[in-house]
Amino acid sequence: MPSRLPSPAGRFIDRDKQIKFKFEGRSLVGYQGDTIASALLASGHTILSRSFKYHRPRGVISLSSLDANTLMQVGDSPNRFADRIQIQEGLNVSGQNYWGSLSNDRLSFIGKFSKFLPAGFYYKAFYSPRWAWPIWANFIRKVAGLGVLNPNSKHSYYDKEYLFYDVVVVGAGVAGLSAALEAALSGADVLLLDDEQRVGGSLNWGRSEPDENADITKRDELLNQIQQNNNIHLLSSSSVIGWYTDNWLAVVRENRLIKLRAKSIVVATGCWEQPIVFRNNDLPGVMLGSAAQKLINLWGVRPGERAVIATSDDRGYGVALDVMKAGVEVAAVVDLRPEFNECKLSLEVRRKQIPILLGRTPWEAIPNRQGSRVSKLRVAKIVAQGKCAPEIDSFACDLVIMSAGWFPAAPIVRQAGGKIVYDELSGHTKITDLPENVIAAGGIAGHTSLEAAAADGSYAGNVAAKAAGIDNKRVQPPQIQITKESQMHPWPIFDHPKGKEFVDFDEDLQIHDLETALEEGYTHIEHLKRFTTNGMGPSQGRHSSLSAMRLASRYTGLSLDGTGMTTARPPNAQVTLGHLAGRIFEPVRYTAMHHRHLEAGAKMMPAGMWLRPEYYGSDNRRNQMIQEESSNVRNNVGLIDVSTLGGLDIKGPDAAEFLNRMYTFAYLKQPVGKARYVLMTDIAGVIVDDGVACRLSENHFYVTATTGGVESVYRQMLWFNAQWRLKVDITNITASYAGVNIAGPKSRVVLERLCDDVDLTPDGFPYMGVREGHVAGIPARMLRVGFVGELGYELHVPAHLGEALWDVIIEEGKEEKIRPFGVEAQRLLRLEKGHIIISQDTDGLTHPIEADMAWAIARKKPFYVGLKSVSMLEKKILTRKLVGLEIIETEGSIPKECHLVIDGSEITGRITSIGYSSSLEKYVALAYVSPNQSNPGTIVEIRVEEGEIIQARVVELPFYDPDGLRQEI
Amino acid sequence: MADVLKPSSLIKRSFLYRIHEKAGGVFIEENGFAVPSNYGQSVREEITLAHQMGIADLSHVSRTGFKGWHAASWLEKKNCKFGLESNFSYLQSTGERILRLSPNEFAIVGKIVNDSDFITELNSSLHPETDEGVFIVPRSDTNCWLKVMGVNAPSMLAKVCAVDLRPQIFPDGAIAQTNIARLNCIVTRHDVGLATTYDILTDCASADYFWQALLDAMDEFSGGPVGVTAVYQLAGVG
Amino acid sequence: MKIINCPLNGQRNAQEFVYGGEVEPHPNPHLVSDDEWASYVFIEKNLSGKVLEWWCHVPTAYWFIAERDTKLDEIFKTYDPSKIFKERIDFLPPEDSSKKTTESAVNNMHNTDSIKKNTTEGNS
Repeated sequence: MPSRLPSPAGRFIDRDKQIKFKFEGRSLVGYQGDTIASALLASGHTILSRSFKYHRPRGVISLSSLDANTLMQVGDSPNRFADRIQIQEGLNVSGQNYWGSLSNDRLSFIGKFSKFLPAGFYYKAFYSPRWAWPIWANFIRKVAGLGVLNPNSKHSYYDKEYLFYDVVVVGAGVAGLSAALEAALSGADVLLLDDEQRVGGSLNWGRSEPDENADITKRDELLNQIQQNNNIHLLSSSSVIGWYTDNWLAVVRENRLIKLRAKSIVVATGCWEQPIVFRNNDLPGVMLGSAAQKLINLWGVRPGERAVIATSDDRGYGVALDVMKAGVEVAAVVDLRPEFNECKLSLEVRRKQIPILLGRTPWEAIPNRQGSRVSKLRVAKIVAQGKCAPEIDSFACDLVIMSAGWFPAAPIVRQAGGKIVYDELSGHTKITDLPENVIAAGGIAGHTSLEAAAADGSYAGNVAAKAAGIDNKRVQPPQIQITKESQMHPWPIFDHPKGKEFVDFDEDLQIHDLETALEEGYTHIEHLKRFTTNGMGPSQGRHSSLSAMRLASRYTGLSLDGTGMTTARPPNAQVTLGHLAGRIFEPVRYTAMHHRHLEAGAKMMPAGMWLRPEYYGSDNRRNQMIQEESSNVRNNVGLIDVSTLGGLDIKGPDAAEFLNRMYTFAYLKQPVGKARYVLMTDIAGVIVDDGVACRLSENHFYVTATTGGVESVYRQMLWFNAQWRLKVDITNITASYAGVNIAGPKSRVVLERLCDDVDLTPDGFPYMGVREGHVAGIPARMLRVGFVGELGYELHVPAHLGEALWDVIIEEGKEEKIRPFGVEAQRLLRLEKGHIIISQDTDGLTHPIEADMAWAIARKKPFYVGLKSVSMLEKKILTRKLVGLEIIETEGSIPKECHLVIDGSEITGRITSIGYSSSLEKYVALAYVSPNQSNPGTIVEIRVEEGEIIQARVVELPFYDPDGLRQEI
Repeated sequence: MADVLKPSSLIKRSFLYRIHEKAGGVFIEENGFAVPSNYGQSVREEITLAHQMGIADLSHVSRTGFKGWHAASWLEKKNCKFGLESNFSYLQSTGERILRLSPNEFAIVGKIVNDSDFITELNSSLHPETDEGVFIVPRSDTNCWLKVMGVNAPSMLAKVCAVDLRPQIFPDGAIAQTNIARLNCIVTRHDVGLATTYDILTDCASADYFWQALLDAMDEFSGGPVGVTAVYQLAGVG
Repeated sequence: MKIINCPLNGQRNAQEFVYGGEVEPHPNPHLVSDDEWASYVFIEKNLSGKVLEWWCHVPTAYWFIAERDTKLDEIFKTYDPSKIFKERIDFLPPEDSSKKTTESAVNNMHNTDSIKKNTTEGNS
């Protein structure tokens, strides 16, 4: 049974500050500095979770916040690492993935059926019948559930930050601290990152010398130097979740995602301690050496009472010394190596007369009667790779410590292009193939002793500063060679006739699961991973990849390097959706009159990045408002905000030539003071934009573009002229001008009151005329255009004067019953006039002939962008045509946009716009129909919801005022 | 007591006037605009804020732009002084600044204190029919002008901009044309007095969004809006 | 994230740019067959190896040309389009016989030697 050690054990805890928290509804007490896991162990809780598939009890295994054993529900937040999160007053914690209670999970019976749940079980068992899967899925998701999301929990605030450094050092263990220091002394601007709250890595808890304070003293020395160096910025609790192109690191720190650009990077992320694969190696009480040392040295927790320590390297002897220091009786040290390796630590253990068994391995852990913890370890002699002799020694114990060596923690290195190379003879790993500006240092590079890691760190720091372009006058520290003590055991895997030797704890995978998959032909390491899900749990193969590689290589006969590793993709650490979404920036554009619309009760709608009034009034009176607004334009006068229309100034001696090339009409002879329709096609002859071009002077056109299209039109214009080299200047002045359209039979009367420097008489300012003058003293570009089919003026004024212009027109138009109208009324008015809306009535294939806009093409000019394509399309047989329809009176249903036009069993087109015209007292629509349906008078059928067929008649466009008398008065 | 100036009583209106009103702005008239002199704090308090983390709306100060294949030679003829380096701001002896945005494009921003007719006169001296290859860009309406200042300004901008704007990298006068909070911006380092200061020209139609995005980013530095009186005093020091 | 070196604005994150397709001469529609035109409009070369591409720096709406290796995703060089597009291009029908201008400009783009020569100049 674990328990709290007496003071002063525990470097992280403050025994003066007690903290109460709740676990599974019960109140518990820990100390400030405790993690949830350490506080639970200190209070005697050994079962922290239930396993994914078999619901086996699980306890601490790595204590490195990377395995599923410590996943818990913390408040509203599921799947949190109990060995990372510190306890706080009132924290509410519970276990996950059980039915009943953690200590008595009713689903644990599943383990008895493990024979019937082999790897690939899901693929095979639920593949057919297909209809059964949703039922199974529902059950499986419940059984395999990991925590609970509370959709009502409050959103946290997340944000992002961009940082830049010469040298970024990832990992603040002995190598990282040394690297940062050396790089900074070389003159580099250094950022030192560590994912733990307290930097120092294994210096905080490890023991590399018989003197128990040697490591921590080294840490304090290095940290002191770091803190005194102004070139080093230290960020703890910061996890690097990925390396991306050009040394761009994503770092999660609390609620912030840091996007970090480094000239060079030192990766000093150390190693992951590897487990031994033997029967029942997942029982609570079986843990890695580093986990036991952390419990003892960081949190003052005695991990058990009687221990067996199984190791394949010298560090295990350091663990034995720490365990003894904590008052744990060490029954034996089991060394997997055949011969005793003399070092300061092993000699010290021998001096303390602890039995040391050589060439032996744990063979089977035996649970206590409740199955909740290890009670005995059976140890066997290794006779060949993975094979043991039948004679067995048994040791009663409640703690089994295992360590099969150290594997590079290399996701960042591998994302940057590096490879881990394994020398099977020596058991060394090293990193190769890294780009010049990414350097691996310390344990990850194979230097596991403190001195070697420190020396390698200094060397890497120097190299990194150089790679960052720092003119470095310091003497380069020597590069050191990999030493003997950094060996990994070549085969710490021991098949047991009764199985339950866990390779992957997260995914509950045993040796036979991987072997079954291999036998079924999944011999490629990536296939093996996907079929078995090995390495797909939270620990991402940190404890299981190497074993899977070994098993694959045993099966295929390839070397470990030949077997290869699975791809290391980000994220490398836990990252929430909140981090990825972050503080969302969604720019929104307001016109100068935006607040006036809100004050007038407008319902706003998005139009590109802009907001525009859809109509003015309450939701439930939508249709009525739209009809009233449009009738008021037809009968009196209306005012619409058109500021969002794109505005482009085209200037220079070639301005007219440029327009001639970009648009389909002819512009060379367009008179000054006149506006002309513009229609743009792309090189494929597809309609992409429209507007009007106003010739303000010989060399100056003011061209409007659609709200959503102006950015791409502007970019395209610049692209074409980067090639054509015409003497023309193109400026996007959309935001510079606020615009209104004052439209309706009484618009002239209103404008006359406000404007005294422009002749507004029909002859003085005719239809399609353009003038520059003043409205209520505000300088304005004035266009007499009539896209709603009434007398109307578009007034474009400097944006900062827009609101004043709106105010004065509304005020002066009161007598004429002026009222603002929104986008919906405008659409209806345009529809009555048969004007198309680009991208509403056109799609990605519509060309001018289909849209019945051949009238907008100048035939005599030598070139425009879509010329060749349009003429090629004209030679082909037309497949559809845009026509006007009026709906023949129906009993109920009214077609909607996108309802299909059919001809017998054929789909021939679709409705693109439809609305009720109160002027015409019927529904009118624009629609694509087949050419043989396009003659006026033809009756076409439209299929609406529920398959009902509605009849409509093709009519000439425009529907309203066909001779254009009203707009030209 | 003097009449309280209401921004909507003038025809020229900043895109941000409602935000200034809500923040307690006390307005004075500048260049025909109602401009927040302060936000109800003393000038001394606002200067302290500006030294730490402040933002000011300078959209009322005059500015313009010229571009075209002859823009540089035309500006030189008008006695404007600037170097060959693009993306740099050149201080004129009269106090205006010429922002060279590319070999053929310039933005010109007026003096914060005692804004003169320099820019109006420059604009009216361009004769499109005879001055070939020079074209005016209506910067005073295309862009709003915000000033971000204080020792925390670089850290605040690091939260909304992916370009390295730290003072040691981005010297006084440097220009970055980039995205800030997903908006296209022209950001220039123009130190005022003692405070590290960035002038940002961005889409005036997005001024409301942008102002709030920056206020949000500066919240952790206890930043806030600073009235023009404090800015004038700081600029006077420099 | 990839860094792209904009000839006007220097090194910026790829996020600030949009891709504008392969640099391909815009043929004079009067001088090409329907098939040639259709292949200009619809067929991308998609070469593996060194290619010329259009890129636009969005905040400044500045178009430039990049020499990129599509296999290595490495950009070797970026430069202003004027290095390749030196003269005004016109698209006149043959009878108007200002054909010379059109052809020389199109040839200028077609001719890889001249592209190479120009980029070397751009680099010096």
